[in-house]
Amino acid sequence: MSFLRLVNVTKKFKDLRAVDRINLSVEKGEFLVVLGPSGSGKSTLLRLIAGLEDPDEGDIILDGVRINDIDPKDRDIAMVFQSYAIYPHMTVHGNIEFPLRMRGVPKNERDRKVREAAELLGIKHLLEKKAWQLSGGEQQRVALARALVRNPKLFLLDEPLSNLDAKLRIRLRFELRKLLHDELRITTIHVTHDQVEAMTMADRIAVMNQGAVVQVGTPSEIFNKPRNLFVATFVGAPSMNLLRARVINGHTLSVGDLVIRTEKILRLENKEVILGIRPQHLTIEKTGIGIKCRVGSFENLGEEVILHLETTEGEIQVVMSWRNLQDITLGQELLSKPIDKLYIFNEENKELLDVIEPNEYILSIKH
Amino acid sequence: MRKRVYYELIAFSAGVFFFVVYTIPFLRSLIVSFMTWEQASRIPPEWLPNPFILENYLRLFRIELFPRWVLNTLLYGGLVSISNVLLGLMAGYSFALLKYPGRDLLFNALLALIMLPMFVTMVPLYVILTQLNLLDNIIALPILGLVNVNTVFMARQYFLSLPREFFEAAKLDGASHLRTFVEIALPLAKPLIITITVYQFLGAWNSFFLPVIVLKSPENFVYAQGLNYAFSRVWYVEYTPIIAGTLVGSIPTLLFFIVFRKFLIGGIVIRTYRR
Repeated sequence: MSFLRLVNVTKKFKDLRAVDRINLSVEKGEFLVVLGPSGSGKSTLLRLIAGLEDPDEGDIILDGVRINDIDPKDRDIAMVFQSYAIYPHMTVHGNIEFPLRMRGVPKNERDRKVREAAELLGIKHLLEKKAWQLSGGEQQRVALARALVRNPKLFLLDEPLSNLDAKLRIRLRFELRKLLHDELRITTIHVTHDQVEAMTMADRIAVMNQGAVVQVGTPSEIFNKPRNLFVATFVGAPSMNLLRARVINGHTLSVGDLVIRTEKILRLENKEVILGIRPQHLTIEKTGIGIKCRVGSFENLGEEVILHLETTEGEIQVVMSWRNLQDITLGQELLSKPIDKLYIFNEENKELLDVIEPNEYILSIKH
Repeated sequence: MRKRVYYELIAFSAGVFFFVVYTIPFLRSLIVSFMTWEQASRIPPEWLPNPFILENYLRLFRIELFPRWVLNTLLYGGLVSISNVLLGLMAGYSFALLKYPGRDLLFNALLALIMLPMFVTMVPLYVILTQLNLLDNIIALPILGLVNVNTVFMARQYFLSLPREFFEAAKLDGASHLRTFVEIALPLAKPLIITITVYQFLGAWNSFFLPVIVLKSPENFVYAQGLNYAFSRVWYVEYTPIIAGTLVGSIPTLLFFIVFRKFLIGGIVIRTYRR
């Protein structure tokens, strides 16, 4: 029995189904990241669990108890808001102490717990400061301390890193997971639209789109076996390249004048499919076998470069290290060749049909 | 370039014009308060007091009931400010942040009340006061002004303008509605509280019409009403002491304005820590 279970949870705002029949389980001590673009319903999902919104349908079960009708203050769930919601008229001490005071914890114990939480998050020196004197990173720590101090059953984080600058964000996403997951072992649901954040922090990721959970899995499952085109293109940077392809027979696939033969049995004979290739899974060559392309532009990332290539099947991107790229010029004609996994998606319902591993296919050119 | 000069000239002239239009009555009052009644009523009007007298002010302070009227007005203003802050903020908070059936309907109905002229409710109010035996009782005034719809409206808009997360965080932190109101909403509403207090207090200080209807005995009168009573004669009203009295009466108002200027000019100034 899972620690938190959502059964057919639905929330409508007028005609919009913000959360649409969601079924999701979270195990005790797990760090689950809900990933989705803005407007996908992920924050609403969090608010439903916290009790800030009431579901129109479905059950939310926490630790064996249905909590739909339990008041938010009695659910024993803590939440860190995107804006942190630090009470501006109180000191840091006052902020961290607030949930304990509301629960009638005696003063001595309160002070001890506030100090412990402040120590844990390295903000002991800030205790007497007012909220408005704090930097963004400090505010975030105060919000975390305020949530942690009462030792909640479940911890909800609503894009807590999105207001921070890039450098701090990278450091804090590491620290946050270390603290909540490795040290305190708190069951956590973290909402984000940042796929790197999701990949680096999660035990499991739940990808949401248009109010529904599209796929739940470990980061590597999500990355290596995306259930459909949405997940495939949303996770991974740059986005996965998509090319129109055709299944010629059970073992052959063609893209432009490139022919891919595989020992796997391909379904949908004589049908159009979508071939997905990650930008990191392509290389370029001047001669040999590959998809014909022209160099459109470069994006320099320092160590690596993103090449934008024009093909007859649309634009594709290739990520390569600078070393392999010395004498390439804009407008040059090249061949782009897959060297790793190939993803095949159904053209009609956009679902994943197959993943072909690099040792399972051979390339040739149509004559 | 030339266009701009013309534009500035027009703007400047308009500024001067309105300044004069608004300040001349005040200057006239100030000058007249040092004139005899006879000189003040001469036509064409004269602009230098001759003789210069302080009699108008002295007559004011000779009135036995004068301190009583000031006290009555302070009591009225104080009570009406307190009740408006408390009830107005509570109602505004409820309309802005609580969920219950009929909430918006109720609020719209209240708003519609603002549109009604005060005279529509005057007669029923008078009847109610008679039945409550509150006629000619100073307490009737704060009861009638217990909470103003404008106050409720202002409070609701203020709370709506604050980030909702403060109240949601308090809810998750385990605060009841009452505690959220006391510990989060009230401290965040400081600018609003000052604004409401100032407006209500000034309203009471300047009130005339309602007291005239409700209060009958001179010892119960409020300030403006008392002045009118003291200097109204059968055939005419002695304006010079009334003007002097009005000027004296506007001193607290001016002080209020100076102290709380920044809150009044900005209407409601919202200062949270958002950056």
